[in-house]
Amino acid sequence: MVNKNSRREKWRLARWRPWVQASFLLVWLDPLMLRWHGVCAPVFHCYSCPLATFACPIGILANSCALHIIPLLAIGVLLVVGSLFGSLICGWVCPFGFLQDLIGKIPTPKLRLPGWMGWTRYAVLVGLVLVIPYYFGDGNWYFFCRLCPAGALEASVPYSVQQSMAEKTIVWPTITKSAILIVFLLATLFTWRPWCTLFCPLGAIFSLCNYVSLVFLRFQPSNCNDCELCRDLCKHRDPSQRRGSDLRCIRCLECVQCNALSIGTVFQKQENLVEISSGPLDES
Amino acid sequence: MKNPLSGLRFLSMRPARWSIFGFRFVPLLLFGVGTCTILYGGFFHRLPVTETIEEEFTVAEPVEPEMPMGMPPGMGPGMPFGLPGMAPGMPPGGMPGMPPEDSQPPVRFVTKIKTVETTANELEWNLNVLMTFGGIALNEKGELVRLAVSTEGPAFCPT
Repeated sequence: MVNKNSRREKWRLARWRPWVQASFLLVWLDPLMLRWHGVCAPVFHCYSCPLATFACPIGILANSCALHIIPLLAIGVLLVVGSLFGSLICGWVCPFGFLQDLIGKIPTPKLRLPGWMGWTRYAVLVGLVLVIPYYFGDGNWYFFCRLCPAGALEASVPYSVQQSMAEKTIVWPTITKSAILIVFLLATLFTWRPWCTLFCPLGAIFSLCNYVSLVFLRFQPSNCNDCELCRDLCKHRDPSQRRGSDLRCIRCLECVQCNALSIGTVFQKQENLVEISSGPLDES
Repeated sequence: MKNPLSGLRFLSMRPARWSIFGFRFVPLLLFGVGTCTILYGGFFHRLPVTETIEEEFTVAEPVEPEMPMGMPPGMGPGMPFGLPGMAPGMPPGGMPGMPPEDSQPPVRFVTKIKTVETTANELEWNLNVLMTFGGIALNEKGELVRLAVSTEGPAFCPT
């Protein structure tokens, strides 16, 4: 009975996720017209968007690398948020993730990508966000913001519409940027959160913070009866691997419907509990 | 397929378990470091930028009058000697009878372009420089230079 009740409560928690994401979307879309672009948000939302409240941390990192300065403010925000929540931000707060979740609800066959593809995000982070801007500046074609589909969707397209409405000369997004946006939107139909899974540099930073974040996914071996429910519930798992949480975990907390898993903090007592950050559930 | 992260399991498990007398300090340590970084970066980390303002402004510069050879110092060109009320140094066309200190020295108007170097803490810098139209760039010397202000296009949106 106790297990049933706790399971119901956990299910309620996961059911709240779209509503939490929608609420945060209101914060990022600046209904109060605050325009605090001097401060970066911990989410992936282009600050060139006409409706952006805060700046994009990845945009700040890339531009700062191009200018050879250290963006302490952005690094501090990422450290604070990462140390508290890790990739819980990706699953519950990020507007770009929410968009992918919404598109993913369209009933099309979904392909599950192999686990090693989660490493490509680190290549994007190091290559396109840090190294290429540092050595080649922001004028080259591989500068991150020139390729970013979030920038194309949230800034370039609205800006082109804005120009056409004002009867000005329309500056269209480049072919590369438009093609990336179209491929991304199509991929969203056929796999869960392709951007977050494969390319998001912000997700890469937060998944590193999963190792040390205040909020943890906990595994209680005594409650596990190898039903594999946690693995079935996880949309980001690799079906060939036995794991409840991996590098691509966005902490959507769908898996905590399983009694062996729960969300907790590092302050809780650790008796018979195993913490899961980004590692496998078992050694097999 | 071998789990590529299995070798990193120790990384995923240990840091959050580090504790002093049962108190897990790693998340709070990171939180503290992040907070200090925000405070230092936001309010004390000052960043310079050189800005060339393409604004023409006119300055009046005094002009040394051309002295005809042989004329005594203080005498304007073309001034006839011996006029009543004419003081030494008064420009040609000056009104007779006016005292010398009220007379206007000859000036020429020069057009200049402003170059300003400013520093600001990162919060203001982001807001006023990094996020504004046109943005900034590195020049050949590696200095941060603010580009000419553009009203076309959102900041850092290389379409």
